[in-house]
Amino acid sequence: MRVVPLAAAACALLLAATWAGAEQLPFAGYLETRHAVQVKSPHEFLASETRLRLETEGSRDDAAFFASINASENHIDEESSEVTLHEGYVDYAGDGWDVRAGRQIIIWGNSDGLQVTDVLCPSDLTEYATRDLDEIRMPIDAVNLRYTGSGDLTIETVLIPFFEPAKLPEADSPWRVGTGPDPTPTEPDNTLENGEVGVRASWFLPGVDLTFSWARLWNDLPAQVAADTDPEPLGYRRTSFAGTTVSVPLGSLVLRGEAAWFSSASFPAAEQGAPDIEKPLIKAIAGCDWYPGENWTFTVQTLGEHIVRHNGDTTQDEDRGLVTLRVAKKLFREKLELSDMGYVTLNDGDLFNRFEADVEVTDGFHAMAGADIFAGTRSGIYGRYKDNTQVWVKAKYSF
Amino acid sequence: MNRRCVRQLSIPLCTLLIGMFFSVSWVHAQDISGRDIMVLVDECPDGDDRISELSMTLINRRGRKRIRQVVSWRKDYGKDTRKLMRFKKPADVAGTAFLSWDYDDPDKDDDRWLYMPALRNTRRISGEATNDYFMGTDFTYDDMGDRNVDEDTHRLLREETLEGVDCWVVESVPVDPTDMYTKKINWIDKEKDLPLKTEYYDKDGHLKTYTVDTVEKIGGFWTVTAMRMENNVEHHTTLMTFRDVRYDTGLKDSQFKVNALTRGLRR
Repeated sequence: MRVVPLAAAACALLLAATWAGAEQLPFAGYLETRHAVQVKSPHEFLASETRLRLETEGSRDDAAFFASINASENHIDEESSEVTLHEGYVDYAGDGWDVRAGRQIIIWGNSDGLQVTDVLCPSDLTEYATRDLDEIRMPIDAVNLRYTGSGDLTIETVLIPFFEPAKLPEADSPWRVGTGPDPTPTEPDNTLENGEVGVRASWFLPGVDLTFSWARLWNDLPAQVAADTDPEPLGYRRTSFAGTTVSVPLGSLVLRGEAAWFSSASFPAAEQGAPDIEKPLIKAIAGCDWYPGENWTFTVQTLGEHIVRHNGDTTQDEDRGLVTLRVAKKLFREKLELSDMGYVTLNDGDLFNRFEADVEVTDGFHAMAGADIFAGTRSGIYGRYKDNTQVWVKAKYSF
Repeated sequence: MNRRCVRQLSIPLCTLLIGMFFSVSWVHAQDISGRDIMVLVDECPDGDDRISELSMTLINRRGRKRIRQVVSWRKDYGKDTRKLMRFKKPADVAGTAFLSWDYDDPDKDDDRWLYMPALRNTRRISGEATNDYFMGTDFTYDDMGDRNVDEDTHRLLREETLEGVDCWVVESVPVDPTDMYTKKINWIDKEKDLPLKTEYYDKDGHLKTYTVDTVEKIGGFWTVTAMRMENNVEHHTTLMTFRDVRYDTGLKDSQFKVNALTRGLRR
């Protein structure tokens, strides 16, 4: 069982405080089972998991706590079955400020299924993008201090003492890119100077939401930091980040935008076996949600990436683009929701499409089924998974 | 001399005041217009802020029930209103929160945000009044919002007694021809200035009926604590009950900011 010191300490403190007050803890959570089968022969199970999420919370005066654990059984790979502390934090609210300390999920950005300014929490990519977004986000140990005492302005400061990388597929996973085991990336030491820090200022005003953010952090994905002949070729690189987001309602539309600058991102070198090239990267997204009524929702987004000072020393294109479209409709008094979200890359023309049908059988009990379709050239970020096109079913009981 | 002057002045003044009193009373009783009545309804005292817990029971034509529970906070800013709703049931949407800044000016769209706990994220959503049904109930978002009196034209049809209560019967026709309703017929309690029943009509005829089941005086304000909406076409009913209603508790402005959505604490 993985227990993170900061989160465990926070939970223990608040549990003790709550028990001291002889209050009964409420429990909530869900039980979920999901199974995905490859469409193409040999029709293998790509996912088969049952998971229990147990959550509890409590509060006294201006303090509160929240804790959740995951107990999962992986029916394909029993060794991946685990019990983990998912989140565990304490809250304290002062007059015009509040703080949350412990293991928590912090989301920045306003995009749907894409991450531009959402840079703090690493992703669980063990099944690539086929999980729900809330399952892909990994919690982090952090102290999140907010100042809210100046009218409409909120200033949020996040301190992340220890680096946590993204979770990648194991060597034998069908979601693994490439063949053979990669060397284990060298992680930075758990020292304070290797910590991460972020600041965000936000305004939520009549007719517009606006945020500006800055952070000094690590890239969550490993890079080849030395020649492949080096005994430790893989590692993580530092980057600075500055970003902004905006949301503007316009009748039945909501226009959204995000832009971010990274001082350093890693790109595959044109020279065989050489370390990845470091260059600044600019990412921007423009999106529009349309709520025409009758429980329809349409979302279109376009994402652009530009490598600064691109001079042909990397194999990656100087500019890359991606378009997403999501259509959702609720039927029968919201007992059935049909949705479809597609991602299409503009450079390679490959795509990922996720269709989902979600039926509310009874209050809190949902049955879901869907299909994840990958298509296009195998060199594309989605086309490379075309053998993993899958159909899936899921049942979830929330309590 | 002075006394005479006072006397000369006071007789016409008294006559004028008495005349005005009878004039106003007579207008209230006889010449009151449909719009006047709906203004009385709109301005019915309901405190500067309110906290309540709302329970909604959805009953389909086979009698099967679904339950939704919401805690709501409301604060008035002049004619405008800010509302925060946090869902408690069913469990799969528990913690979801909805913040709206509703403007009385019909030309100004409301500001709305939705917090989804699973995503730990707050999203701005469209503030345009929609005909979507709220959480699968028989109430649309528009039915539950504060509608500006002049978004409809009102006509007093008659006066009649509804279950022993003297009522004005007022027809309200939307100014906007694209509105989902073609008209509403309202039964307004003459004493409490509250709608006790409303029939909703669309282009196909009588769509649904709103009925008040219980009215209580809480904190000095007449409060509807139980109501129902019956859909005549789908034969679906929504029962709504309010409990733990409190007025003028001094809710802070910070409670109605987007920041309040993401943290459960209230201060």
